[in-house]
Amino acid sequence: MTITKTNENGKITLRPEGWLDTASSPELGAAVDAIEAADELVLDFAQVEYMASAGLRQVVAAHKKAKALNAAFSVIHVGAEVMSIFRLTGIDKKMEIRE
Amino acid sequence: MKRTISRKLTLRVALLLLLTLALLFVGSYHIVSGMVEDEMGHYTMAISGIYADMINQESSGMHIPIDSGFREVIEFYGDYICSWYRIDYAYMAAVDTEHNTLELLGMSQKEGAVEELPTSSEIGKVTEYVFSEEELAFLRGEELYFVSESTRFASSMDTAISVTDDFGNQIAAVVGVSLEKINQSIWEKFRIVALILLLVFVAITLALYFIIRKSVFRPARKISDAMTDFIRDGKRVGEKLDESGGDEFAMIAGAFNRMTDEIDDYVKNIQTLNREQDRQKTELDIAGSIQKGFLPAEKLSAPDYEIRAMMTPAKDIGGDLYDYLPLDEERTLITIADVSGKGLSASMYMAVTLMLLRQYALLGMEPAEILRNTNNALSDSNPRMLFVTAFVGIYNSRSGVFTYANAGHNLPYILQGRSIRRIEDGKNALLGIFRDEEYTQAETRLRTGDVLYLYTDGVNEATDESDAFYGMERLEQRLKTFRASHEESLTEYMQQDVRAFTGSAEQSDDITMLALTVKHRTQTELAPDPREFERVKQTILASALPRSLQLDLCVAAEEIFINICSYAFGETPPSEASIRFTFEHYDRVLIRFEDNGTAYDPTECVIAPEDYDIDGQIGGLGKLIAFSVTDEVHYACENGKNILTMIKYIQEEPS
Repeated sequence: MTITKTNENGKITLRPEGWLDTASSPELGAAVDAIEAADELVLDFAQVEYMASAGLRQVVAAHKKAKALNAAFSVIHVGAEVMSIFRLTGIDKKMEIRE
Repeated sequence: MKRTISRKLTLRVALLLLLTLALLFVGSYHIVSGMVEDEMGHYTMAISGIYADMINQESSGMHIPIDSGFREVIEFYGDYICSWYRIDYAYMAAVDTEHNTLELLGMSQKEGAVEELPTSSEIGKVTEYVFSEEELAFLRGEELYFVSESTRFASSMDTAISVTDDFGNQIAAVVGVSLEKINQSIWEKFRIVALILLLVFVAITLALYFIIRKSVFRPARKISDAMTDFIRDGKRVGEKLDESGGDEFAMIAGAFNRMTDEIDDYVKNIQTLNREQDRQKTELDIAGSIQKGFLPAEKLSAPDYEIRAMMTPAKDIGGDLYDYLPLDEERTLITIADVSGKGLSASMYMAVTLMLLRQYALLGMEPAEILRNTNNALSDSNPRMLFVTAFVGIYNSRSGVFTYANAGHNLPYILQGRSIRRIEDGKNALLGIFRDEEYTQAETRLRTGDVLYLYTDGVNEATDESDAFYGMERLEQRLKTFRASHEESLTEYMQQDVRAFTGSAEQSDDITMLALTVKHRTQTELAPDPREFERVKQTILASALPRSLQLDLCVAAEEIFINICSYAFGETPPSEASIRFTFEHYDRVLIRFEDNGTAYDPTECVIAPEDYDIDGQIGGLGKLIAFSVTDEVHYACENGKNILTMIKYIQEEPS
């Protein structure tokens, strides 16, 4: 899975492409860990068609990391399938998640 | 029963006798007291006569006013008779009815006999006295004597004789007896009478009781004993009842004898009939189970299709048949047939037809040829002209092509997606009547999820209590609603409706159905390694299902698979650890995981989505997701293996 990272004056956007399953989720985790500072952390899920529980955990970990860095956090461009998983687990109420 | 009748009867009669006895008592008392009073009256009257005579003789007649000498005479003779005779007192009094006065002349009494007798101070005094009618009648001379119960002196009876003195004054010589004495006398006499009456009464009652016992109790008891014995053993023990006597009991005895004779005969007849029936029933039962043995099982689960079938005969054995037979790796024979009539002869013919169809199919023939040959064989040996309708088809699971031919049978239906269609071509001649009939053959394609439905007219011609038919319309309607019902078995689904329709009406014809569902199934053996999931993913994505459905299935499969890898085998999985993944779909998708790890039921302790708290728990997230995106989850532990099955219904894309 490829993850594209862009940085606009402290606003870091991570854009994973492909399936966020058990095998590929650790890559997202590594990308998040590599961030040392940020004002805002955005996960762009426009190319994420599929997310399993492993992927969900990585999103939660990213949220924690953002908090630790005092950065705003959001997940954007979430598709219907992935959104239903967020809603199912009530995550959409705990953090900013948008279509 | 018998005892209370005699007792009841005796009691009633005794009551009557008691009443009579009471009346007799009262009557006899009156008579006795009358007699005694009479006797006493005569006696005292005689005494008062003597009393008066004595005094008369002694003095030269009686006159008033009395002097003491006269008084002495009166009292002397008064004392005399009091002591010698059974009287209590005697006195003389001068009476004046014109002036209503009375003058006591002399008084004698027995010691302490009567209370309240006048004292001697009263003697010689003229007192007022109101005479009663009877007293007046006597004193006037209308009566010869006078007897009364004295009111002057308590509890006594007076008898008086009237005498006129020389000077024309009326004098009464009165003699009295205390009532006590009288009553005593009455009582003594009455006692004897009463005792006699009582003894007679008791004797009569006893005699009555024994008579009734003999003429009612014994005969009744005999009859009821005979009846009880008869009921207990079902036949008569001992001789017949005694019919002599000519009375009502004799009549009952006679009727009873005749009735038991008839019952005996009747029972013998029924027993014979029952034995005959039992024998026949057993033979039919045996025939029924033999027939069941001809037909294949009601369920077959092959990799590429699922077959469900049923046949319910109207009687113990039926004339319908269904059949399926895998001919080789690709081809399967499917048949349904209906022999005319029901019962024993139809089922024999059915067995023959079944075998013929099978054999010709196994020889490699196509449906039309199978029918042609079967028809010839049947019509060659059919003296009773039994005919058969049949539908024969061969399904090729590799190509999906279904080839078929029809001999006068109900045309089957195919459920495709949300719609149903009826197989059109071919309604050729029945089997068994005419030789060398030609049958046309046709084919159609069946896709994954399609259901082929075969049935006999026992379904559409099923009747309810008002003899209305189930009908083709209701059948089609019911087929159309099958998908939405998410029921697993079409045959069961149709049967339910037929049963609901017929209610309590008797089944009029054999009901037979067969449903073939085309499905896709793959099975893969996996090692408990998360990297193996890629193979699961490829299997699912290779199926011809909508993308969003595939994604849901992948998520569910991934979560469960990862769970099994993590928990079922521990840190180092043993070498024989295996997970079997089965993926099956027709009108629904089945994902089945079978692992030989530690027994574990994942359906236990699944948190509901509302209760899930990601800050608190991380575990259980996978199960939550997997079970939420699927419609049904079943866990079973068989032969030491965990088997988890998840089912997701396929919702048709709206067209």
